[in-house]
Amino acid sequence: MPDLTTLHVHLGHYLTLSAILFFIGVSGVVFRRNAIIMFMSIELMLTAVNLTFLAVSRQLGDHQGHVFVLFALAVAAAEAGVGLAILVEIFKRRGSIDVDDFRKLME
Amino acid sequence: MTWSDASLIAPILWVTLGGVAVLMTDAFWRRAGTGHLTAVSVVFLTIAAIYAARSDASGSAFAGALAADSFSAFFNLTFIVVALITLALGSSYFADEEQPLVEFFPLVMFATVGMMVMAAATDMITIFLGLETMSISLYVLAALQRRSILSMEAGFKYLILGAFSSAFLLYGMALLYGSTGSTHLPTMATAIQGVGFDRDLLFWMGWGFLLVGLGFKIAMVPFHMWTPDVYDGSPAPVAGFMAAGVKAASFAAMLRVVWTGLPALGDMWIDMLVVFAVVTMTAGNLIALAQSNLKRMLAYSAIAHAGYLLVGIVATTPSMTDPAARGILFYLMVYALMNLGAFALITLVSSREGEKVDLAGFAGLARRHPVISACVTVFMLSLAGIPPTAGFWGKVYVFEAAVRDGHTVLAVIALLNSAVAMFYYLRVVVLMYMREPEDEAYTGLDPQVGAAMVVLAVALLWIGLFPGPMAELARQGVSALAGSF
Repeated sequence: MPDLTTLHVHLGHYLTLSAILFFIGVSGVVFRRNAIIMFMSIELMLTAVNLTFLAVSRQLGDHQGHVFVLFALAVAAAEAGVGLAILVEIFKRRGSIDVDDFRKLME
Repeated sequence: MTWSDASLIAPILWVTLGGVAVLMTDAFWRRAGTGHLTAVSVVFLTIAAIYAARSDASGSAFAGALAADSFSAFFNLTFIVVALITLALGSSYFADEEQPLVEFFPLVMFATVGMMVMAAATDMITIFLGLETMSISLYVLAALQRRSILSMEAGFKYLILGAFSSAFLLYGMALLYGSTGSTHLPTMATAIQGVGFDRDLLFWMGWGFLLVGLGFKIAMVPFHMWTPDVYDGSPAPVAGFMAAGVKAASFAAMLRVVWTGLPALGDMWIDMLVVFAVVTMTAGNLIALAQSNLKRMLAYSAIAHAGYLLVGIVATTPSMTDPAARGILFYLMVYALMNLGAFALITLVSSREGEKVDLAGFAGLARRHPVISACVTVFMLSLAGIPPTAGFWGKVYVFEAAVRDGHTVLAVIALLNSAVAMFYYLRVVVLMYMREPEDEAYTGLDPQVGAAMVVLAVALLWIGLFPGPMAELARQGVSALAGSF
């Protein structure tokens, strides 16, 4: 068992964690067919990016990363709002949120 | 915000104010039709255009977040023209609905604000904010026709892929922030010049993700999959707005970002962009050949044009007199005009239910509407790059810069591509003039859309005959861009 008192968490760990989270999000968007899950995966990707910004910002002792995160959060919220509104409208008509059913355009 | 900051970004503020004014007009002065909303939008856009045109003040606003100079002024004018034409196309298109879709007007204004912010942004934060302001407005615009499932699906598809690509863009920005220590582009450029980044993993990953994110927006192959479906499903005026405005805004931001990083990027980056440019224009043109639906054909043609513009990005180098950047600016303005013209044709002939616009529907159009057909001929010749239209000069400027920069093979491939593209553009013209009209072919004529088409065609011919003034404006823009670093 490692000695927890000497375990240090530094920038590399944060960057690795956020890279892992980001690619979990990417695989969610690519492989899942449920529109809501895809949305959640995109949110996960954005959260991973925010973690990168905050870790770097902390490391540099600089405030620009914090500012970026605040804007990114606001944008993500707006995007989710618009997305869910469109999705509700599609669900009313189609009764499904499986993106494989969204095939009308391809015909 | 100080007064000088506000006066530097006056065009952006006026368009923003216009968007709010249109919302208020609809809330407190509801009338039948959409004429009053068009009028309010046009007034504010015109004021913004006047401010953009006589912007002698240049400088950096909001602690280096935005730059006001000839570069942003050139793009501000481009976006205002695009917005005005879009309003002309949309005001009658959406007025026909049982319930007029009044949301169209403020959303076009806010999307225009986003584009203007993107072109003026000198900080990654403002690029991202501009991009999202533009994109979120466009997601709603694409899904505006709630009675049409096609439109809803187009909006949703655009949103999912747009948000996905924004996340990549944002991750790229975060990694670049990590490796250069700033989000401010000129500061980043200084940091990049000072230190070698050859072995910096964060730096290269950052550029890779940034390219993926921007590649989605400009419809670069292999990130183009959304384009045909979204253009096809969106209402015609919105699709034209997307094609013209988003492309110009994204390339403006791309130019600035590429100039920031170019000293450290080196040959590998250029080689990669060459591959992307070749694949993008070739795939776009070859697939466009096979399309029988005009909207899808124009979508693939938009992809091909992104490839031509990437040729300019390959050849660009940060300098006051860079011919490639001048070519890109000129091309973007001209592309916006001719593409809006082509989408005006779709607006004219498509039914309001978002049905597909088959090429055969134009058969014999010249018999019924000779003036409209003449305009469409100008748009198609210009898209194909045949003199004496403006599209010819756009291609000349960009490809010539590529040759001067030593990319002769790339320029030859681009020329061969233009020759292939001629076939599908001219097919539309042949159909209009050489065939008998079909019974159910389009017969009505919307005066507002017709007028917009005439204005666009005259502008394209005028720029084609006298490309000097526009090229001079583009040159001033490039030297201002070089000055902002």
